[in-house]
Amino acid sequence: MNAPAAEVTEHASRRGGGRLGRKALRGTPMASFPTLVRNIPAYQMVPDEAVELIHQESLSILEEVGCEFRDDEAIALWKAAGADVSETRVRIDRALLMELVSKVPPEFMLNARNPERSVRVGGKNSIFVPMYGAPYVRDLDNVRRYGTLADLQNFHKLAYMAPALHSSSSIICEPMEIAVPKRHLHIIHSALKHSDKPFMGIVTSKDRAEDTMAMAGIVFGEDFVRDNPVLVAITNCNSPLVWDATMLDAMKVYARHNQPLILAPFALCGASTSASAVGAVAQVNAEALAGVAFTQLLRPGSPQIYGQFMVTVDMKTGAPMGGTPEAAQMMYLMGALARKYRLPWRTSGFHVGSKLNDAQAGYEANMLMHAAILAGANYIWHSAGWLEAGLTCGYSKFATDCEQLVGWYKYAGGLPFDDFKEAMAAIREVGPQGHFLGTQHTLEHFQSAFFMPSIMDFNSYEQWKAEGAKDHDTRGREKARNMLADYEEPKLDEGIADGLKDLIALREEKLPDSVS
Amino acid sequence: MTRRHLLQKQVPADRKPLKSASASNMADDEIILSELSDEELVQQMHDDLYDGLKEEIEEGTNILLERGWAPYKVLTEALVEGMRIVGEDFRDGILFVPEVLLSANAMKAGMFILRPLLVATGAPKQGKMVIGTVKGDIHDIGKNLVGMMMEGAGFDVIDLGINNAVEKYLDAIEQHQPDIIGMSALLTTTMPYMKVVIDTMKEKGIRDDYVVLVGGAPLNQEFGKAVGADAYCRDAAVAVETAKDFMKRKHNVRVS
Ligand code: B12
Repeated sequence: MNAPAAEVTEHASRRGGGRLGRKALRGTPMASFPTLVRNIPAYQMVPDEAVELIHQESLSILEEVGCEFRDDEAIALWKAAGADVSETRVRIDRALLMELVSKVPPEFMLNARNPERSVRVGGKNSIFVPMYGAPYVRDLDNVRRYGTLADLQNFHKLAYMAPALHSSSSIICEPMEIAVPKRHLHIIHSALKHSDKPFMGIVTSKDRAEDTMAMAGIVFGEDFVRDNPVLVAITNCNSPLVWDATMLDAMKVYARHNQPLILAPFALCGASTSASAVGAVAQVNAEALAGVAFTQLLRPGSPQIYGQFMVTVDMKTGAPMGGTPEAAQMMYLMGALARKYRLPWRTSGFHVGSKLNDAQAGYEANMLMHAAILAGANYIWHSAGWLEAGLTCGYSKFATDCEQLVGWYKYAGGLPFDDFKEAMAAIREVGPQGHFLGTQHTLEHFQSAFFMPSIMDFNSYEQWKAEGAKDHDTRGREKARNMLADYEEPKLDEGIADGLKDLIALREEKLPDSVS
Repeated sequence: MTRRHLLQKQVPADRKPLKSASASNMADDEIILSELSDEELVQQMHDDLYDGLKEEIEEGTNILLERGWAPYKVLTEALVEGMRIVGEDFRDGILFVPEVLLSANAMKAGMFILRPLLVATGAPKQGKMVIGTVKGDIHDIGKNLVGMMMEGAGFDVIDLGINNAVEKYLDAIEQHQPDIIGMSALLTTTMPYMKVVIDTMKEKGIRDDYVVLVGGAPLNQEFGKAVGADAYCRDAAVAVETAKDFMKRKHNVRVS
């Protein structure tokens, strides 16, 4: 695989080999894959004319209907830019809109506190990011309950250890025991402390966004975070066609620091959009473009992410679904639009509706991730842990998702031809009959030739039975447990660690203990 | 494929009356409602509610009134009973959300005719609910569903919309004198605000005058209890059942 080799941490035998040497080599690889460079063509499901039609319809929506921006400063900015504004309704002329959108760089570097974990987002470059926002966890004993800070820390540790995850997200689950006004401080602290990968910002109020930037400033340097992306934050449009004050406040803080935002609706197709996959995409495209354009009024040239993804609504209850064929089809439209605009594109990968890490979860996840990869997504979010349409983060799901990501990383990396000659030589060496298991070529390549999962089971029936006849979900939980037992915290400069603690103490003194 | 070609496939936008695909596809023989007996008419109204036929419900309601039915009898036997069937099939996954909303709309049209007559005849109230999403939260899909289902069950619903501070609830209570206060929250950061509202009601000494229902996906039974609500409802159907229960109890208390 095109992943970096595991670091060898233990040398007990004289020659550095033997049982211990091999064990160290195959043991806990604290490796992290670099940015995924997609080396396969993007698949476009509809003709160019269809993409163009959706594009034109989106622009017409913004010109004729317009979009709400419910904030005085935002309205003033739009007026100054020459948009047609009446109260909070902004109608944006297509030339102005596209001029603003074209200012967004097609790719950007997302800096991690450990430079080796920095990644690129956009173009052929993609990253996998774990989930966000779960009030509940399905824990190591398979019990569903509210999340705690200890759970969140565990998920940050797992995110740090999973080689194919490129970010620690932030609120993987909610630490429900911490008072709401102070919670964000502990969420960001945990992400920065337990992992050295990029992370995500808080958006639920202006102060919380500012606190996030202050904490990032301590870790990366205040000057550095004024201009260099170190986090990504998600701001949702309230479909149909409303950007509300809370989100606009967060956008102002982050965009002015040159921090990328994901401009997205989490629209429920059929409830907050028309019950038509193509109609829905035209609508959310308008919403996202309006959001992207607004960020360029705040800071021209700031990196931004076109945030489209959508789920359909279950007409039996009104609840969001997950891995449905329409959700996958819509991704192909969104991907084509993102390429047209040369914008980095976020979608989601494993955002299933299933309650358990079961066959339904597997089917849904596969439907979605396959589309995300083939449609050319750059920021592939909700790629670990997600269950119940985002209400629950499962330990088992997290572990099995991470294993699948290793497979998808390889899949999207394309088919290498570099050993083609050697492979052809091997068939000459073996000839008719015989087998390849002992050839030099096999010895040299077997480790990287095939995906080698440890949670998925391909053993004989007898072996599987002897090992306790455990299902995939159970093995996933065991994997999570074992990973956590092996976890070692990445180094963080003492001065920085203290700085973070001081800031938290200072803010906690000022902030109330309950919402009002 | 050309742009025109793609556009041609779109459905013509001539406005037909709202009808669900399944209902309008059924062969409906012309039925003259006024020619039906009382019993047949009530049956037909149950069917028409099921199919969300607003005008037919209005007509049926008026016919029963003209025949001397008490408004309360029209409400309970024709409308509420019809919506009970709708609710049951919604719960069982036979009817879908858009169809139920259509039914609720038809019910509302009947209610519109009956409301003044019910007041005039001093009929027992079906109940009034004030509902809103709490401060800091803009999620309203679930709340809207609950509101519409409650209307469908005959309740008067005052919808305060999203992002409601405690003052909004208090003002609405004063102005509308509801029986039930409903609060919705979808964010773990806004759900504690429900306690702020309930505590303020306690401070003002009015908490026990109202039934407080709470809901939203991240909530649960224990949370509902912890903030001091009367009940947590996991979905719109349960909300309707729970509200009806509380109204029943309220009437029983009054009678005894
Ligand atoms: C759609 C949606 C949105 C839409 C909302 C559109 C709208 N007009 O409502 C948009 C995109 C705008 C949105 C925005 C945000 N969202 Co949102 N959203 C959702 C989503 C996917 C579905 C909610 C929904 O509509 N469900 C369908 C309805 C039918 O179900 P329901 O609401 O639960 O209602 C039923 C019952 O609960 C009950 N009920 C509900 N209310 C009431 C009230 C009473 C009185 C009663 C009796 C019963 C009752 O009956 C209803 C009908 O059966 C959820 C995930 C989820 N699985 O729930 C996330 C979710 C709630 N959102 C989340 C987040 C983080 C956000 C944002 C902060 C994201 C962002 N960074 O922009 C913003 C916040 C905006 C704000 N200030 O509130 C998180 C919450 C995380 C947390 N721990 O708090 C979730 C869980 C997703 C996730 N994992 O990230 N969101």
